[in-house]
Amino acid sequence: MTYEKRRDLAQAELDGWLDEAGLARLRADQQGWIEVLEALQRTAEKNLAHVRSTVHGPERRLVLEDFEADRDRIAERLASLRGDAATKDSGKDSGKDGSKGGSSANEPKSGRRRGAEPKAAEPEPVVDELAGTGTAQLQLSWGEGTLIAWGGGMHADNDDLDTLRGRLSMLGAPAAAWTECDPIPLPDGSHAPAVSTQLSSVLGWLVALQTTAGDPFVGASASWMALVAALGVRLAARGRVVPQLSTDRGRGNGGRSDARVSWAAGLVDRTQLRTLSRAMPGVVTVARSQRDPLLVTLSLLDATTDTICRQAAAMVEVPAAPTRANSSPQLAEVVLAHLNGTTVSGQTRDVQEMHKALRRWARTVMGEQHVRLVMEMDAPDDGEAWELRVLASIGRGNLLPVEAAMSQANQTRRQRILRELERLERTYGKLKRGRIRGEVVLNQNEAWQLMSVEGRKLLDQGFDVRVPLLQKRKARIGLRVTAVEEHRIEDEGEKRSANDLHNVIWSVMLDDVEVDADEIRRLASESRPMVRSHGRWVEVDHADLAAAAEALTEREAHSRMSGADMLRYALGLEESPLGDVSIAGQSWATQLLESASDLPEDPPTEMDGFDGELRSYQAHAAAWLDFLDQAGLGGILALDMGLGKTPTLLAHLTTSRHRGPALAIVPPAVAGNWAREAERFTPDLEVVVHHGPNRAGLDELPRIAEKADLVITTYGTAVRDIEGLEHVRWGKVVLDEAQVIKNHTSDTAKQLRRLEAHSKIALTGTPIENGLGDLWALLDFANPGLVGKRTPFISQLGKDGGAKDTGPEAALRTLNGVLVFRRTKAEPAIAAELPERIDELDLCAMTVEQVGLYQAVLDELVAKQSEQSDDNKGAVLAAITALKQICNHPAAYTGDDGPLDDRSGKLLRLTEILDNIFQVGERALIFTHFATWGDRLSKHLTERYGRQIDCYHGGLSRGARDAMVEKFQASTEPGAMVLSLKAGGTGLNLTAASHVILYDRWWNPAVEDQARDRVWRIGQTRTVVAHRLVCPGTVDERVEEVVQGKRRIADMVLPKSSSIGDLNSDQLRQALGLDTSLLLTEDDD
Amino acid sequence: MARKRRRGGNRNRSSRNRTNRRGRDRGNAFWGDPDRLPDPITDLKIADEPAAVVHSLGPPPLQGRDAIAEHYFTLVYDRITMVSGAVAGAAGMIEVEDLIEQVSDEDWDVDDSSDDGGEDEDDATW
Repeated sequence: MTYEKRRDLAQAELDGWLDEAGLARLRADQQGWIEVLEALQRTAEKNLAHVRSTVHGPERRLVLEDFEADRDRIAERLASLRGDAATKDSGKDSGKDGSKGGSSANEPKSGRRRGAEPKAAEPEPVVDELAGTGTAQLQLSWGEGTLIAWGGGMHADNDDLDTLRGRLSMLGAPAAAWTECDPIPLPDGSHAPAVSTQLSSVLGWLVALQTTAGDPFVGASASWMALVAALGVRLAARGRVVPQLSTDRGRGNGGRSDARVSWAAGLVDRTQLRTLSRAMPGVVTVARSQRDPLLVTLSLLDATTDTICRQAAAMVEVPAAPTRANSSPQLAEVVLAHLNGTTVSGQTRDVQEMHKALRRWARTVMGEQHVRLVMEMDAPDDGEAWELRVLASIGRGNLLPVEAAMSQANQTRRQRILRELERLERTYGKLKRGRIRGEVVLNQNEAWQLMSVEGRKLLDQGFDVRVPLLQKRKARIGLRVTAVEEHRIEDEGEKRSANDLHNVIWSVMLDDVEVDADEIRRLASESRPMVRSHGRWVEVDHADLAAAAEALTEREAHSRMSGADMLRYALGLEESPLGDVSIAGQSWATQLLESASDLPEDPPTEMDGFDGELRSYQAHAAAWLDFLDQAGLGGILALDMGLGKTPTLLAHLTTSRHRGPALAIVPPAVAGNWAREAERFTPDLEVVVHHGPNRAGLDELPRIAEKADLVITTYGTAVRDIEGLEHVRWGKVVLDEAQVIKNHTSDTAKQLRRLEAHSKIALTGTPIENGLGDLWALLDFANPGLVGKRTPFISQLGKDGGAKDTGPEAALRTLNGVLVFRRTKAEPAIAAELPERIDELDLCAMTVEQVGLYQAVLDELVAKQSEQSDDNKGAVLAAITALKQICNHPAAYTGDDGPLDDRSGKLLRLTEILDNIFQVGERALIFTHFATWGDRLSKHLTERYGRQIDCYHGGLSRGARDAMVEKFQASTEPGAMVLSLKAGGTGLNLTAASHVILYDRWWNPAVEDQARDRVWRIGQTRTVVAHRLVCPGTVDERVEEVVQGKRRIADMVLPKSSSIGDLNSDQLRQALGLDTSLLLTEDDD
Repeated sequence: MARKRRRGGNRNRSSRNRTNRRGRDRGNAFWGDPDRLPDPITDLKIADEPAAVVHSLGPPPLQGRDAIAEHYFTLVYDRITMVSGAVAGAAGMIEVEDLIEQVSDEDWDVDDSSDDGGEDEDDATW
């Protein structure tokens, strides 16, 4: 078999299509097979090396991977033929090698053993990709004022001119800027073809290369030059450049010389300069005779600043001037007119003198020998004398006062320090008035100027400025009231209370600095009053000081106040002419605020007796409730709807049950929910539901309450039974949906105020519906008298949380953490903790009209059933539909045109929910499966809320429906839309809403899920709250049970093996009748 | 002899390693080491008062042309910061928005707690 044939077979085997016969032929001469594979391996390595050096751009990686795969396949086959696992590894290692193939210098020893085999080729060491890796990169050298580009690298072939230009183009260099120049001589004797350009032609491109260190296509020389150029740009941007005169250094043309303005870098940071020069690759200087890294760095730096400044000077219009000067004054004029670097000429003597003079003039900021002076100012211990010193170092030692530094420095450095000091004195003239050079005392005004304005300028000029920190804003001013002596109204030994009277003194706070009237007078006499606050100096406004003095005078007579008074001041509920009022000293109010601020950062989320885990904000709320309980105060737990007020309160009850029974007064719709949640979360609590006709009598109430941990009742029942309830010493009274008492003159509010409790808590998601009066009503219920009278409360909080802020929310923030605990779903930290969807069950009452109709329909059905007609089944189903309509609203069944208000408990609950939703600016979808009722409902809601609430149903045209959806999605205002469950259940995207209200229920939970999914779907960014409205004790609740999977539809009405038509009267009444033990009636409310 | 050879062998190998390292160092010194390069400049600041440094040097020695020199310098330095800002913006050294109004407050917050007085000028930062 010829070598070529064997090679073809080996290649076919590698490619995976060799047949058995061919494979047998290869196996017959395994050594020959290995030889051709080794040859193929060498070829593959060569190809790979070629690809590495020639292929660039986005396809490089793909091409390399292909060739590497070829190479690896050969190596693997060779390894298997040799039976040497190590060879397989080395084959891969060698893949990164150069063109000679075989093992690499770094391969394992086992690989080297293979080298002893007679047929294996000994590899040559080759290194990998970056500098010195055999891959050519862009190299930049700094010629005598020109930038030279070429391509090469350690062990790499040099680029030819075409490759070089392609490389430059690939790196974004301006193509036209480069011209061919002499090849670059390299240490290995080769010459790299090169192109060169002026720095001005490519400066922007060069600077952009400063981030390329490590780039496989860019050599370190190019990255280094870019970094130096970037430093030049930075210096120029800060004005750290100085004009100089470059001369031709020769005499000619009858004693005339040419010259031009050049712009040198100034105030170069020595450390930065040295770091750069130490990192300079030799490549940079390969085309120049001067190779000292420091000088080369400075040369490139100056060239960069010169390029920028000449271009900048060319932008300034100056009067036309000749370029030839015949006298020294003329030369000055000519030079000034040609700051753009145009060549000018003058008498050689004049040119040389000006060259030297400009050098002397600027030498203190030029080069690397710049001496950096430090200005250090100390604040006075007392008075207005601020001592300013100039310091200098005499080498690498400590900083010394500049006089001392000059006396200890050598002559050269002394001169440098002196010149820099003169520059400083020229800039900051106040130094000249000091008796000792470099030391001066500044007054308060001068110190402020230095700290605020002049210091910044001095920094820009290259001086180090160390002055006390100055706050940019002026001091915040406020009043402080301090309790200095306590007079107890109650007996000694009792805890402090809100009614304790204190002697107080008034003072003024300037940020955190407390000053009295004398200090204010002293500050007011200063030209630039300042105080030191939190380590920074803060300027105080003269007008503020005058107002402070007046406020203190006004309050001199107000020297006694109660703890409650002090708390009102601290909470911003009392008027103050000077912003906030803080309180201090030992008093009930200060202790209270300290306790509020000491609430745990990570309160426990689990607690004994609570069968669940609180979310972190709920745990914080529970800790806040504990704090109120300890203080014997009431408050408002204002968690947004859906954030879990009930479980939070229940968790708190587990820790406060020792105070006595808690009374929860709730809307009838949620009474059942409270009982269920208590059973679920706090099974150990003794819970009594006090409502309905079978509730305990007034006489029995105290005895029942004493045995209970929690008594749940409704507002209506509580008002009716207030005579009994008020005789119970409650540990806690809780009002759920407490906005019910926002009208403090209502009978409900008045009656409930009769209840006594250790602590009263109002739960609401919308503590302010109509105005700050709502908030006052809740707080005054929770803490009678503590927050003062209604009118000043509204006035004071309205002032702070006025129109410029977010109004109500600002007022809540004022009180948050003390008397109010407010959290909303909009807060990112809360939203992050919430599930994507919250399901809430709302149990709704039945009105007398609903109960009557319901009973009538049921009676009729039973009567029909007794007639044993053929269509009993149809009659039952029709009756179920009718009963569900009645649960919705009597008008949904009768079809009457009468007003809808006050006829349906479910409609009432719907409006309560919508009130809350609209209050917080959100949007809702209301689903019903009765299209006619939906239409009626939308009209009713539109009228009630004064905003268009459309009804989406199957009777509308496609266009009308699309327009409706588009309009709903586009709006950001609070709003709602009613949808028929059938038409709106699928295919719609209504993520503008974050609430879904299932007004009535459908047998199939999947249909309801589809309805919820209109809102809870991709694109929804908020937590979706799904409300289910159910009338307990009715067919409505039985549907709910079906939906919940607690029973099957058939089971609801039928005994096993029966059909609807077989039901007798009792069975019908059991299946569809009213369960009065569960029924909520309007009587409860 | 064997001992000598062994020593010699060791020395030779060590010497060869050093030679290789020196060769590599020489190679790196010539071609450069990207790891030794300082970080790129990305925090460029534009001077509030571009001609402050040049004015701090006093009047330039231009034969009675002080006033006109100060005027020209002010104009040219304004343009210098403008051109520098443009170059820096194109090179990603500064956010373009920052060019509109840049305040170098960070430079200015000098902490008065650093009163050790021992800071060498090399270490002074701004």
